[in-house]
Amino acid sequence: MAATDRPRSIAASAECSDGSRSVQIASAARTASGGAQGVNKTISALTSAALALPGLASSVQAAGPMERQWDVGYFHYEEGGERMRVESLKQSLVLPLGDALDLTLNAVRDTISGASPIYNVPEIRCQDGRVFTAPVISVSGASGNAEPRGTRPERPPLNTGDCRLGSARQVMLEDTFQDVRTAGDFKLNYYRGDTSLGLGAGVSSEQDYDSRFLALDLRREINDRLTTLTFGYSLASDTFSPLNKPDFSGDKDAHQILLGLTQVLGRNDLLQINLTLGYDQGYLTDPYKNVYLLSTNEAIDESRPDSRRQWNLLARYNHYFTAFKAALHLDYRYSRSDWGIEAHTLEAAWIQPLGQGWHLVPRLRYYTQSEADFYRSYFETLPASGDYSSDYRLAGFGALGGGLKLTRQVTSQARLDLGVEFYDRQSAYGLQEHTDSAFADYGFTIYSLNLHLEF
Amino acid sequence: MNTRRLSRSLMLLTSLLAGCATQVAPWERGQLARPEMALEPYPPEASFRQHVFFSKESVSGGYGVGGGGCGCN
Repeated sequence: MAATDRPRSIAASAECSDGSRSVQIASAARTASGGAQGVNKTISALTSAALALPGLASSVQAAGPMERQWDVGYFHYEEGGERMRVESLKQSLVLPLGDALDLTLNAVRDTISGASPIYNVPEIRCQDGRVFTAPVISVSGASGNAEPRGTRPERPPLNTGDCRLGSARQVMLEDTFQDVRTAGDFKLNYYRGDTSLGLGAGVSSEQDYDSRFLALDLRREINDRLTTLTFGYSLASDTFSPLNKPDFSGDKDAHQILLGLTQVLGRNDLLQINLTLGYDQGYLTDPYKNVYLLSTNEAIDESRPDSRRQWNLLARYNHYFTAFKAALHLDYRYSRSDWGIEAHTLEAAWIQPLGQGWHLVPRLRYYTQSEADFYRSYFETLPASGDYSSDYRLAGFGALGGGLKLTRQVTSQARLDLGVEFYDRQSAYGLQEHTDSAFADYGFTIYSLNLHLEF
Repeated sequence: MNTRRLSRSLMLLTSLLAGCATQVAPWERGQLARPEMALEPYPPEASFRQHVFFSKESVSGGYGVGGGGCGCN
């Protein structure tokens, strides 16, 4: 039975560990088509059997524990040029514990290295053809401090009319940055009738950053299990101990509330709508980012507000095309934060079986955001509000992404996934009005390899 | 204010859905039970991708709650 492209759906559930299930389902289907009255019990058995399948566990929500499975994944993230690189190893284990509980354990280890931008300086172009940029000011993330070192950058006077400000360019952190992140979390699900309750917690640790979180979610199936309502809450508590500020550490709390609705629209259609509210409070500044001040020719530490509210409205629609035996996934997310940023995210994926256990998954993504209220690529003088940042991630921009994944069901228990995804960030792709940040354009590639086992 | 507008649109959508959703009997949900019809068919990859977008874009989340922060943003 190896290498089948048959999904583990109702028809194929004979391959699952519980052999009796297929018999139950077949008889349920027969009786149901006959319209017999005493069929309710069988249908409910069928329903719970169908819902217990892993595929459905995360969509229409399982009425019972998930099946045992183990994932091990390797992910490689690489930015263009000599910028950031991340190697990530991930493991995930799902264990059913009796009839009413399941436990998920996740562990991840990221190795991060490479350079990242710290601030932007404008180029100064003079009529005699000279182009000035401030000399690169060295800021070492590993052991140095964020104050500019060496000689102050010199520039010609701007008021004479001979020299004018041109476009900005990024100043990069030296290529000495290296960090390892280790993180682990668990989630325990409890199922009782139409209701399930999830409790999760985890920790994440880096040289300069520690995070702990707690999460709770409640799911309730109503309307003959066609509708699932979800409520979720999580609290993360983080501590930032920047390496460039030995006597300083900043704390941050992040609250999230989620209200969700999952609805079966038809035999082939599924829709999910999530509304998420996020509230972050505390030290939200990036201690490794600077802003350039034109008036004094200095690079100084950025400063962000100490709270942030964010709203997300996510709609996910899945449609199954019987003719192609393929599934279409469409996601749209509208986001807004009180830092002045509004964003749209559009994603589409197509899961196409090719036979012999192979699946091909092309994917497209578009993202656009407006700029934060306190963002400038550089500053003339410090704004009175006290909030200022030149972080390219707070600029207005757009990004186009696309990827291709190939998966192969190697045996009835093992599946291997191989994927590549590209991402192209361009100031010009941004839909909303924003100041040009083309100097910060870049791209990255993600390679992924994942082994999925059910045992 | 925005919250109110959002929840109002959510409620509107909910009522629209209730209207257009047909009754699908349990034995008619075979296609929906397919692994590729799961809302998140490839969880480990999804979690890595969301982590990347979280550290490279200004807004994040919406897909679920939980998960710790990192020094990447």
